[in-house]
Amino acid sequence: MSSSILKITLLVLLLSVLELGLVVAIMPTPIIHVPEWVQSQLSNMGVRSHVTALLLNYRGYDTLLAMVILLVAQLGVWIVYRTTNPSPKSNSPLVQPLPRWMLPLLILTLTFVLWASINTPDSGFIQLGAVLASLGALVKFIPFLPPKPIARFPLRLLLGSGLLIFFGIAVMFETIYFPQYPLEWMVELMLVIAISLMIVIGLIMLLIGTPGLSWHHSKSAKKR
Amino acid sequence: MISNLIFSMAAMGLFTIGLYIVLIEAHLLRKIMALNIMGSSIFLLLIAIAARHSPPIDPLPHAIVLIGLVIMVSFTALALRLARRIDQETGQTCLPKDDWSI
Repeated sequence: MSSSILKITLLVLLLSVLELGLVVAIMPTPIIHVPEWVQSQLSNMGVRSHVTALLLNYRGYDTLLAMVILLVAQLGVWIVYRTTNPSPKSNSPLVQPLPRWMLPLLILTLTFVLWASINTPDSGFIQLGAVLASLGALVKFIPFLPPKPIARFPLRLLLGSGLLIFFGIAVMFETIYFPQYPLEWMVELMLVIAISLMIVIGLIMLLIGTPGLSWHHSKSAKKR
Repeated sequence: MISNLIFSMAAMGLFTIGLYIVLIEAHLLRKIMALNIMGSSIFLLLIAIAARHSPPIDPLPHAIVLIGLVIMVSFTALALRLARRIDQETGQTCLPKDDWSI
């Protein structure tokens, strides 16, 4: 009885947060009108997408640290997760034709959205990581591939090199403001960073379900 | 302008619901789902802030939401693996209760 009173009191106390939604109405207009400022800076950046330019140039720190967070989450999963269940292989006739149909479409999607992130005002290269992961999940269903990916050195090298590429490009040019890309290579550098981010996100989404290497090699593995 | 208010109030309502469930529910999976709801509510709030200016729309909160999506996905993955490991070790899907817990 008292626990339900406590729950109701907690709910009422938390509902006092609701009026913070009204903050949106009284927020002062910013000093710089951001859309016009981004539009004016767009010629300096080479890409024609507002959001991509923001993500990779003016908010480059955010993207870099997001990649670090992804890799830290992957490391945490590899430390914590233990399983002895093999990953499923499917012999269903519904699944077998799936890679044949989906692979060209997915590759087309990847290249188009990557192009569109650079040349149109939209930006979707971060979501492309999920598309890459679905590509990898499709590939897993092809019967002649080994059952589960294991965190061996080449895979970890690939993951780390994504972060290395991003960080290396960001600090390669000796300026005070980081990241600062030179003007003539800006589009190509941003494309390289977008592709590396995409690959890292896709790989992590695929590998997040795999157990760590130390568990796989331990002799005292009990099946739970 | 009214639509912005509706979205931001809904965002704070979702945040409240998520926070309440995180505190009340004992099952780990429900806590993780409630934390996801809280994250999504903040994204909704950011987009409501972005839509303050009539066209052209402010692109900066869009970039922040994209980064936040990445962070939320990685957080959910790690939390789910931790919950799975807790389930493997103790056989329960709840953290052990203290004397004062609701």
